[in-house]
Amino acid sequence: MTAIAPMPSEPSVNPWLPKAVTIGDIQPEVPGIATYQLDFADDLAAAAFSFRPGQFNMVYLPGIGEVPISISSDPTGAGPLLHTIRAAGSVTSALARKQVGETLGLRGPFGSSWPTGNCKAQDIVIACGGVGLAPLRPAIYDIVCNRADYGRVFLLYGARTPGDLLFAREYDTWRNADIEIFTTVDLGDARWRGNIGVVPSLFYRLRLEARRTHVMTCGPEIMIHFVVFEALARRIPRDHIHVSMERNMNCAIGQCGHCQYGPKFVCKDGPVFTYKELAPFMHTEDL
Amino acid sequence: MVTINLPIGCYVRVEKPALQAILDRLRELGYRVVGPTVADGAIVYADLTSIDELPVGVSDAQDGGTYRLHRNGGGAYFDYVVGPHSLKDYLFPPRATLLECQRHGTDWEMRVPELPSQPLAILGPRSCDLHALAMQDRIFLGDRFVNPDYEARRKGLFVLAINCGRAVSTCFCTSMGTGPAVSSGFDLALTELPGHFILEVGSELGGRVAAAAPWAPCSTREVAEAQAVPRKAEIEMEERRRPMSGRPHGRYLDTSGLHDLLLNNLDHDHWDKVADRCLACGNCTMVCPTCFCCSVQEVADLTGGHVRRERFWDTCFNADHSYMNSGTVRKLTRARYRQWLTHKLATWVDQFGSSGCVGCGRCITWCPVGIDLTAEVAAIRGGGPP
Amino acid sequence: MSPGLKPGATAATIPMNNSEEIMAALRGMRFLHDIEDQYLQAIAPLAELREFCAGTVLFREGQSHPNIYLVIAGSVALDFRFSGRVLQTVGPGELLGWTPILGGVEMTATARVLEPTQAVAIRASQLIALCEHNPRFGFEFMRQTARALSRRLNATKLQLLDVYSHNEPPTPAVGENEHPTARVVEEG
Repeated sequence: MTAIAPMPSEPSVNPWLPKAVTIGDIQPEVPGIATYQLDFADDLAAAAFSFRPGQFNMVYLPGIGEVPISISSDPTGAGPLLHTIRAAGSVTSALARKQVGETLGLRGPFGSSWPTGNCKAQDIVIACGGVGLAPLRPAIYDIVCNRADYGRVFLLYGARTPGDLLFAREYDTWRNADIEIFTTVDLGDARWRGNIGVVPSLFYRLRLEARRTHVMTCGPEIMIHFVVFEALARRIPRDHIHVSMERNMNCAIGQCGHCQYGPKFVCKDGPVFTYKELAPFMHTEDL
Repeated sequence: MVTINLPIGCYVRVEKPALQAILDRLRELGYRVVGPTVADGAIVYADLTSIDELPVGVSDAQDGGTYRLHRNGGGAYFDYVVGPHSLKDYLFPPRATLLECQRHGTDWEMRVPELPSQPLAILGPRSCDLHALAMQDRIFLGDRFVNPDYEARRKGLFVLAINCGRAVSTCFCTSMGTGPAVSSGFDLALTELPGHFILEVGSELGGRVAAAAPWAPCSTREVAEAQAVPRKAEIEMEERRRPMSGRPHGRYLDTSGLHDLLLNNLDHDHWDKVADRCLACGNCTMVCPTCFCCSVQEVADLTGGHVRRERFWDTCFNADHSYMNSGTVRKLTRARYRQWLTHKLATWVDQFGSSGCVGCGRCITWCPVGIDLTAEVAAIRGGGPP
Repeated sequence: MSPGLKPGATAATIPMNNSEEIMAALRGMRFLHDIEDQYLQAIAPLAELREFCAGTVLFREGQSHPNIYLVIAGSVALDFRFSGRVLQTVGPGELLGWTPILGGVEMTATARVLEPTQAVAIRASQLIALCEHNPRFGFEFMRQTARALSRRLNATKLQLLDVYSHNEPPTPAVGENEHPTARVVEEG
C-alpha cells in the first residue's frame, strides 16, 4: 500500500507565486517550538485551501527566505491553518521574531500524506519523537474524528525532557478518544515518574497482530530507523510501515534536485513513504 | 516573388553564403539569433548577425580534461562538435528571477516577473543536445508542476540543428542512442558538404524560413551524400572503441543492466577511488545539458523594500546541497560523486523514464582531472555484483 | 519508598505460584520466544510471578541479589550512585537485574518500582545450575540474554546521541576521502 498521491496543481498557476497570509496567532508550545496560525488575506484562497495529514506548506518571509513547515491543524474541520515549527535555522529564527499581524507568503500544500484511509478497521501505532509529532497531529485528529473506523490506536511519543513533550495538554482528549498513549524522555527530571528511554523501546509494551497493524513514524532519522527495526521484528508488513522523511527542500516542486533520496523527491514523492519503497536505500550511508 | 513553403521532410541544397539569408529572415521575424562563435579558446554560443562570426576553418580536439581549438586550413563552418554551452544556457539560464516583492508598510506585494517574450533562434545544436532538450522538456513541462520561465523561453524556440560529421574522443552518443544523426526536435537540420549545405525541413516554420534563402531541390544522390555524413561520425565512434595497442581511443558506455548495476553497488570501493581524484568543483554539472539542480535565494536592494527571489544554478557537488538543520547528508566527496553518477545513469530512469545522459562527453572534457564516467562505470561493472 | 528492606525482600502481595499462570507468563515473553517449551517447563519451578507496588526497591546497587526479573507489566527506574537522577526505566518485555546470571555478585544499579509492576522472578543460582546441567538450554538462554543486553546497549546509544537537540552533530572522525579501513570502527 502506497501513500496517497499528492494533489495535482492547476495548469495555469505559477508554482512560484505565494499567496499572501498574515500571522493570526503565535502559540509557544515547548522551548524552541511554536505554532503559527496563518490566515489567507484573500477569502477565496482561504475557501479553496485544503490539505491532507502529512502535507507541508512553504512559508515565505520576504527578504529572508522560504522554509517548509508541517501543517499541524485539523484537516477535517474548517478550523484555523496551523503550522508547528522548531526555530533551528536563519529563516525559522526570523519567523520566531515575527509578530501577530505581519504578512508572509505561503505556497502549498505539497507532498504525500499519511494513508489513514487505507487503515480502516486496522490497528495503528503512531511512533514519533520531538517535533515529529507535529505532522502526525492532523492524522490523529483525522482518526479521532472517525474513531469507529479504526481498531486499536497507540501513540508512542518521546522528547528530550518532560518539558519538551509537545501538545501535552491534548493527551487527555486523545486518551478519551480511546487512543492509548505512552510517552518517554531521554532525560528525566526530579518530578518525572514516567518512562526514561527511547521511543522504539515502547514497542515492548504492545501486543500487536502484525497483519492488521500499520505504523506511522516521524522524527529524527535515526529514531525512524530504530522504529522501523522494531516494526519489522514484529513482522509488520513493509508496506504497512509509513515514514515521513526529511531532506533539504528548496523548491517543493521537484525541480531543484536538492531533496532527492535515491530515486525519490521527498517534496513530491514524499515526505510520507512506505518502508517498502525506501527499503533499498534506507541502509546506505550518506545517500 | 512567389513564396513557397517547403514541406516537412524535404531536403534542399543551399550555397554556403546563403545561410546568411536564413539568419536575416529569422531576425526579420523578430528572433534573437544565437550560434557558435569562438571566444576565450572555446566554441560558445553568442548572438549572431553575420555568418562570418561562425567558427569557419576551426576544429576542436577534446579528451579527458582537455579542449583545444586549431585552424584546419579549410573553409568548413561546422567542423567541430559540442562546446561547453548547450541549450540549457538559454532555456534554463544560470540566473532567473522567479518572484518580485515590494513592501508597502508592513504588507508585501508579491508578483511574478514578466516572462521573456522575444523568441530565440539557435543555430548549432547537435543530436545529443536535442535529446537533452527533450529531457529538460520532460522535467520542466511534463511533470506535475510547469516551470513558467522555461515554458516561456521554450515556446518560441527555433532550432537549426547541425548533423555531426565527426566525433571527438569524448563523444559516445552511439552508446546512448542519441545520435549522431539529428532525427527529431528541429525546425531545420543542416548537413555540411564540401561545396554546400543540405537542409532538411523539420517543421512548417522551418520550411517557411528555409524558403527565404536561395535554395535548390536535392537529387537523391545528394540526399544520400548528406545522410552519409553523420554515418561517418558514427563509424568513427565505433572504430575508436576497438582497442588499439590495448587501449581504446574512444568512449563507450555499456548500458546493459546499468540501472541495477549502479544501485546494487552503492557501497562499492570504487566510489572512494573516484573521490580521491574528484575535486567536487561541479564543472561536470555546469556543462551537462540535462543537469537541472538549482537553488533559490533572496536578493534585496539596500532599503530592503524591494526583494527578488532568484533561481541560480547549483550543483549536487556543493557541500550545502544536502544540508539540513540536522546536518549535511552527503558530507564526503565519495557520497556526492556517487549521487551525481547514480542519479544521471540510474535513478533518473526511475524519475523520468530514460537515462539522464545523452553521451555528449562534455563532463569528461571539462573535468579538470579528466574523470571519465564511462571508465568509472566499467570499473564498477568489473568488480561488483551485476 | 520502603525503608530498611533486606535485599530481595519486597513490599509485595503474596507471590502467586500457580504453574499454569507462570507458564503462560513465560510463553508470553518476547525474551523467551526462541526457547522451546520443554525448557520453559524446566524454568517454571524456579520462577515466581510477583506483583510490586510503586516505590518498592527490588535491589540495590553494590549489594548482592538472588533473582533476575522478566518484567511483564509496569515500569522500574534504574538509579546509579552519584548520578543524581534516574537514567533509564525498564518496562514490559525487558530483562532486569542480569548481574547474578552473568557471574557477578554486586548489582550495578538500584531498581525502584515506578508503576505497579508485574514480573517473573527467577532464582539465579538455580537457573545457572540448569544451564550447566543442560548446555543446549544454557546456550539458548545466554544467547537470549546477550540479545537483551544488545538491545539495551542500542537503546542507550540512541539515548546518548541526544537526537532531539538543536545542535549539528560533530564533523566525521575520518578525514575527507580517507579509505574505509582508516575509519574508526564502532563498538558493539
